[in-house]
Amino acid sequence: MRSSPLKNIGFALLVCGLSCVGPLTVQAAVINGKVIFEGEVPAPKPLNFGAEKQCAVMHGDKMPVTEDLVVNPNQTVKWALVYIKEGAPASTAPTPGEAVEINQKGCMFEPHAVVARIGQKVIFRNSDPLLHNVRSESKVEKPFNIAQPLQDMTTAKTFAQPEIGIKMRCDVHFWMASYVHVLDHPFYAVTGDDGSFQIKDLPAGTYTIEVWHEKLGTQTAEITVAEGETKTSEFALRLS
Amino acid sequence: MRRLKICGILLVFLAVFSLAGCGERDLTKPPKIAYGRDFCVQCRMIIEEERFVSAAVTDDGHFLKFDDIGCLAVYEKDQNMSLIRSWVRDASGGGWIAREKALFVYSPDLVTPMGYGFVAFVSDLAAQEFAKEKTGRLVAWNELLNLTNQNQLKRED
Repeated sequence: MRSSPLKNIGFALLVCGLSCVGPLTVQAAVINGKVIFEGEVPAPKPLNFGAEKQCAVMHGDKMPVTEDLVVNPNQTVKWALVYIKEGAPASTAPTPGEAVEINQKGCMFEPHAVVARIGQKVIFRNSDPLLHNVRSESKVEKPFNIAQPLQDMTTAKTFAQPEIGIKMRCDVHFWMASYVHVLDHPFYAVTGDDGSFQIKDLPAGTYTIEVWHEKLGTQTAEITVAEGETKTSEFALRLS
Repeated sequence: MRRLKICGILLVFLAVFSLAGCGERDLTKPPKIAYGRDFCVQCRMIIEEERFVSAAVTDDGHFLKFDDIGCLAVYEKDQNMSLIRSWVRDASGGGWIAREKALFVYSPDLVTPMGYGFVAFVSDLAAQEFAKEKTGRLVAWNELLNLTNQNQLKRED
């Protein structure tokens, strides 16, 4: 029995068509939300540069405020980390090639909080014409303390293990502090000027989400998302 | 009379404590470093990383602690101090080494606390391998003293 040429062509087209479409596309889930501040909002505290006049001069008449607790005008919290604490799928996403940068500028760390993936470069830059140092207060990795005596000096560091809330300090200027969070997956966000967060590209599943803030502590929530679903979650933090 | 007795007891206590203190200061051995608390005598930074630490003892019996081998070199050079002994850490984890027995590797790519880029080894093989890995080179102490004038703008582990 010989198959007809037409039949063969049809079969070939079907195979080709299927291979072009590929496996059925899976719709990723999204978790959106806000980190709200509960209670009486403390008045922003202007930074005290102490005797370091050179630092104050760099800000002119616009003195910055402390960033350890920033409550946005919409009563939300800035600089809070929201991340998948448990249930994060093993990520196939490669470690981002671009580095995360923390700048020592105007005797402050900018930005105040960053997230780096394991193995991703974190660059510390000194943009000031002053001596700064970067001392890590890591509890998982070996701490380091490096001087950055020259303007535009950069030091790149990588982290090998996940750790939340590694405090970075400059001992020359006691008020300078920032936080590096190291994660082994890409499911995280740091809240900004509107206190919102978005964690996207999640497969369907049940996750423990945690919000972490240096002054307001932590809070967790369990969230189940279906394929392609967008869920909203709110955290409310208060000073204890 | 009673006062004298109390004074006598206090003096005995003082003598015992000061003798006990002297017992701990064995100047032939490097001092203990309290990481995260002790300061480098040269740059005043808190000492954090064991592999770059160095120490010395002066001829008047004072222990000095440094966070970077370069800081020890600069101190020796600038202060013109007579250091009767000095030690560095073996970067392979072998503990303290007398400075004169150590092999030094210099690499501009090495991120050390003060950016001098020095690390010490007791083993020649370990020093050679590290130098190759970090595109560095072995340097003698005298050359190391001269190299402390350099500082890199861009450093990366």
